[in-house]
Amino acid sequence: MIKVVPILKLRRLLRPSTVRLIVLSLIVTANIAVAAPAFATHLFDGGSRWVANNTGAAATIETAVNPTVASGGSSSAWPMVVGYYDADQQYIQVGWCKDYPQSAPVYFWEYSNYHSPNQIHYMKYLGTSTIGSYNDFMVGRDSSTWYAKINGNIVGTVGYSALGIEGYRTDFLGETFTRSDHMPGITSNKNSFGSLQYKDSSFVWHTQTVGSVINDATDIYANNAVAGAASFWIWDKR
Amino acid sequence: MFSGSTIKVIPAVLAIVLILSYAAYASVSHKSASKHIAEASNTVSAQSDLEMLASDPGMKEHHFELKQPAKSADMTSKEAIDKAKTYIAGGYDSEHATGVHAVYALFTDNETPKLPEKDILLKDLPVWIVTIEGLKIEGHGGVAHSGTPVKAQPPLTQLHIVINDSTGEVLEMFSYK
Repeated sequence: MIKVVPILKLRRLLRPSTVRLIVLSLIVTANIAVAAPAFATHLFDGGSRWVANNTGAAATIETAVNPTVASGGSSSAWPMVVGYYDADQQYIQVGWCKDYPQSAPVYFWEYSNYHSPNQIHYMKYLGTSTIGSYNDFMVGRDSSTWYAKINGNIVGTVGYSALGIEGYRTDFLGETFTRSDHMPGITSNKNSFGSLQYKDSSFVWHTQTVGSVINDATDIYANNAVAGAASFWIWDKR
Repeated sequence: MFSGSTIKVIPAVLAIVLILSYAAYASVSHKSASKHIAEASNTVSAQSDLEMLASDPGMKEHHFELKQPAKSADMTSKEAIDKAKTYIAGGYDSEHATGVHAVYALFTDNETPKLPEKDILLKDLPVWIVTIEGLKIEGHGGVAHSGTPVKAQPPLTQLHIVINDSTGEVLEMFSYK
C-alpha cells in the first residue's frame, strides 16, 4: 500500500504558490546550466550610408592602438557591404580586429548570410596588423565574384551567387562585443577612417560620405563623424 | 486512496525530481565535454586524418590544399595542439570545446597566398592544422538599421588554426561551420 503521509506533510510545509516558485527557480537554474553563453548586443561607432544595389565599400583605416578587450570580447574596425536583409546578418567585410584572447590586432575578413537556407558564415584571421599602420580595406564584386582586399592584395573571394546578397548599405564602423571592450582609438590617439568609397551598380568606384552617424554608447565611445564627411575618427573615452 | 489536494501536490513533486535530474545531467554533460578535449589532445596524426581534412568540402570551397609532407615534422602533434589551445585560451568559449585534433601537412592557401605584413608564401608550406570543435565564435558586423531587430547569428563552432611547423607561429585561423 502506498504511504501518502510524507506527501501530506510536504503539502503542509509548501503552499502551492511556494512550490510554483521553487519549480520556476529550478527551471531557470537548469537552463542556465546548459545554455550557450549569452551573446551581448554588439556596439558600433562610426558612419553609414544607404546605397541601393551597391557593389562595394572601401576605406583607409588606422590601427591606432592595441585596444583593451575583455574576456570573450572584441574590438574591430572595417568597411562593410550590408545586404538588403540586414536583420538576417547579410554582410561582407574586411578590416582588423582584436578578439579575446588575441594579444594584438590581426587582419580579418568575413561574410555572412542567414537569409540563405544554407546559413552562410565564414571568418578568417590573417596575421598581425601593426599598431600605427594605415591600411586600405576593400570589399567589392564584379558580375560573378565578391572579393576582399587589404592594401590592394586580394585576401579572399566568394561567388556572388553563392553568397547571395545584394548590397544595400555601406558601413564604416568600429565595433565591440560588450561595453567592457574598448573601441578602437583613445582620446589622445583617435582611430582614423578616411578615403571612404563605394562601388555602384555598374562596378564603378566613387567617393563615399557619411549618411548616418552611429554611436551605440555615447557615454564611453565617441566619433567626430558628420553627415557628408568622407573621413572621421572614432575613439574610446575611457 | 489519494485526497484531491495530494493529487495536486504530486505533479509538483514529480516536476522537481525531473528538473533536478535534468540539472544533474547537464552538469555531467559539461564535465564529459571537458574530459573529451583532454583525451583528444593526445590524438596522434595519421595520413587518414590528412586525407579526411583535405577532402572536407569547406576546405575545398575556400581553396585550401593539403598534401602529405615528405619530411617529418619539427613539432609534435602535442606541441601543435598545446600551441593552439594556448593561443585561444579563454576565448571562443574554449573551456567547453568538445574535441581537438592536429594534422601535419603541406599547406597551400590559394585564397590568401601571401599574408599581409608577412613574407611567407602559403604554398606547400609545412604546417600543423589544429582543428578545435565545439567553440562559440561570434561574427563581426551584423548591424541592422532597417528597423528590424537583428536576428541572432548562430556562432561558428569549428576553428582551424594554422601553425608554421618550423617556427611555431600561428599564421592564420579560419572557420566555416
